[in-house]
Amino acid sequence: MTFDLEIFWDALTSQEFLDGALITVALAVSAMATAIVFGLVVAVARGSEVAAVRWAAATYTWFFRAVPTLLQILFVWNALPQLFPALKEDWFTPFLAGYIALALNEAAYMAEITRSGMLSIDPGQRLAARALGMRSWPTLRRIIIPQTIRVAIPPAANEFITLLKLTSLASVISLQELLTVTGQQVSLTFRFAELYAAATVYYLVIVSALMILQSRLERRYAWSSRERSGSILSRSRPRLRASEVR
Amino acid sequence: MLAASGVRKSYGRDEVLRGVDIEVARGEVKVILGASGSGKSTLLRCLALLEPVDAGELYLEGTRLGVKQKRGRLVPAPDRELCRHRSELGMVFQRFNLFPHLTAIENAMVGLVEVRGLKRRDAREQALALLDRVGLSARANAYPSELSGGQQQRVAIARALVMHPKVMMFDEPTSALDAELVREVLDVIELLADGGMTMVVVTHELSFARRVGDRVAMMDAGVLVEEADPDSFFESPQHKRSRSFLEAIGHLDTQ
Amino acid sequence: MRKWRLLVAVLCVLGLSLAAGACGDDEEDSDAGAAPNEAGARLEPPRDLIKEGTLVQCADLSFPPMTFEDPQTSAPTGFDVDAAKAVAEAWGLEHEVQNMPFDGILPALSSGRCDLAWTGIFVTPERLKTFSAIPYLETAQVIIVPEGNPAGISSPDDLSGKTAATQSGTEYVKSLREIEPRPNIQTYPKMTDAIQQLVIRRADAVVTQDTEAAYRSTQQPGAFEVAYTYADAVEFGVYFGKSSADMDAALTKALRSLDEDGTLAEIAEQYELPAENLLIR
Repeated sequence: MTFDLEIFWDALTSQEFLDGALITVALAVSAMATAIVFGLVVAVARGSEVAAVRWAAATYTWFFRAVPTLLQILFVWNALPQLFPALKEDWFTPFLAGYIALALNEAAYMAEITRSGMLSIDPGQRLAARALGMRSWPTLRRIIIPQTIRVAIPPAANEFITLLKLTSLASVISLQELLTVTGQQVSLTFRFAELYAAATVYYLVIVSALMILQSRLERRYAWSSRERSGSILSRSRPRLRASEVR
Repeated sequence: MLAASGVRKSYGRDEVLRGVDIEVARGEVKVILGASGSGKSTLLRCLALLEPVDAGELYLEGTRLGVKQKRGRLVPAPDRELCRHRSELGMVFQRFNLFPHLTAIENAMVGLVEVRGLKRRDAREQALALLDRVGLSARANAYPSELSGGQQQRVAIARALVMHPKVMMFDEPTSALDAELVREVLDVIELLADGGMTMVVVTHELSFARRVGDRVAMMDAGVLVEEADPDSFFESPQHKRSRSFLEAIGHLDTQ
Repeated sequence: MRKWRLLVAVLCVLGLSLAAGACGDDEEDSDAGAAPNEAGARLEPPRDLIKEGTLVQCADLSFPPMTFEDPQTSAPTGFDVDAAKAVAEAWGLEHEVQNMPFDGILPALSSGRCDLAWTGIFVTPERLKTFSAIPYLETAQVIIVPEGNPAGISSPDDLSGKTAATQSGTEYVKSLREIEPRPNIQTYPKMTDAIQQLVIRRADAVVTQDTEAAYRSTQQPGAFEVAYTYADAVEFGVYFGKSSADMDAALTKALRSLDEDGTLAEIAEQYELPAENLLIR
């Protein structure tokens, strides 16, 4: 048996693989988006003046990083319904359960990345904002967060790639993500090389798209006149501004 | 305009300010001198409400800062009020502290937009006018990383000025600059002084202090040891600490 | 100084024995020593075994009563394990079990990680394209439901609009997909996971084998019942690579011998499998 290109191509363009890949991406993107926002909240909470808030945030990052991701997924799917029987209904899909578990899990890691980004900001920044009379929330929004984002982009992209692969854990709660679908196809036809290759192509495409996005994002946050191009979706081209043309 | 009495401040067990009294009249340029560790920068920060004091009172135009009356008792002022006062006390830092992710004009605008609630267009207009005043309207769209130290400090001055502060404070504004860039910044500060701005300047630039200052104050070990007009101070310093300080930096005027 | 060296030595010994112990996790050795079968002469084992002197069996130890772990000792057990052990004995070989999830079994056989895949695998035309198989037991697919049949399932079509769970990578998934309109199908790594969803009432039904259902109902009496038995019975088969022509002849001979002398019937009885379902040709 050698590599059959037709089988490879059929698998690559099959509805099952496409659906599996879409579910994988959708799960990773939605969980990551939530994790970024929630991680920011927790990171800010770590620096709160209220001791109870600080403690809650620290406990959160401790707990959700300590418990294995697989266990968290299984817990949400199997243990929660034991406590809240309503979760056995059809509306509580494996996707939803996987999303909740992965978002909570990833948020803990993003909180630490965000916190480290904030620590790296020169204390003079907060001081200058204070001197202008800026209050906590505007300072966070306009001064701290943009600078944190810049530092956090590479590790966050890393986390997303990890999360993308962690989605395959959701196969234990019956989610039909890409790896599960691949395994099922293999068990029917045994064309391992072709099917594994097709799955690999999907993962490569997704990660490549992410890396392009990452580089655009990093350029936008380079804070130099040459890179100012507005939308991160547009090509970055040096533009002359009226004031620079004399 | 600005007054402080009995100001004490400690960092842990380190008592940095040991009861300082100081008054700055409207339009006065007060220069504060002192060796490092004398507490001059800390004093400036306390006056700008950037650091809380352990003891003492601060007054701006007669109003007591940092506390308010509530049912006959004095309680700490709410954050909103403190921030409002801070915006009336302009501060320029030794290391500029410009916001690196904002251009020069955006740096100048941000206070107006976020603190005074101005619309961006109006803020931009005022900010541009001020950048012009400090001679940098041509570099309005440059990022701090693309500006020289002197230019950055001038943007920082514009940023503070745009808030129409009642008092401008300068914490060693040229200490972090290369020698050839010091001039441009001092020129701007002198221009402000000539315009009648009330200022408190901590500096090592003694000839500038002598020329531009109205009063010179000497800090040593957390206390204000001497205050006099510039000529008197530099020609015949009264306190022995003032004398040893001026001697140490080789400025004792023997004329 | 001497205390440190002693500590390091102890740690090394500990580490080595842990490693040695861990290596033994997936592979369980049966008793050494090959006794000739009761018929007298020892049978000729096939050549090209992947491991000299040992019969390596791939199994998914989560499918009782065919292949599972003994609840007390965690040793591999079940009809398929015991039967394979008997075959190994008849050949004068040691016996080893490689445990892995079901959808990895045939890939493992393909990549030469075991001699036989013997773990309650159906004989199907697709699989026979790639592998050889010798059938040994007749069995039927069933639909099990919670005790009392709350969803009123009496045929596969009744599963439409309901939630049905089963093990991923199995024929059961295929048969669920054939139902029109399609039920909400949930696939889990192990059959036990699927049955668990039935017990907690998230799934309305589970499609599995009559053998599994029988075993589980002895474990959890009264938890569920069989709602439907599929008419077309299937056969369990022992799978091996097409390239080992040797294995076909040797295994057929061994199975016949064990069938004739009643060994297989004995093993079947042990696991409450009807001996009349055995079909060694």
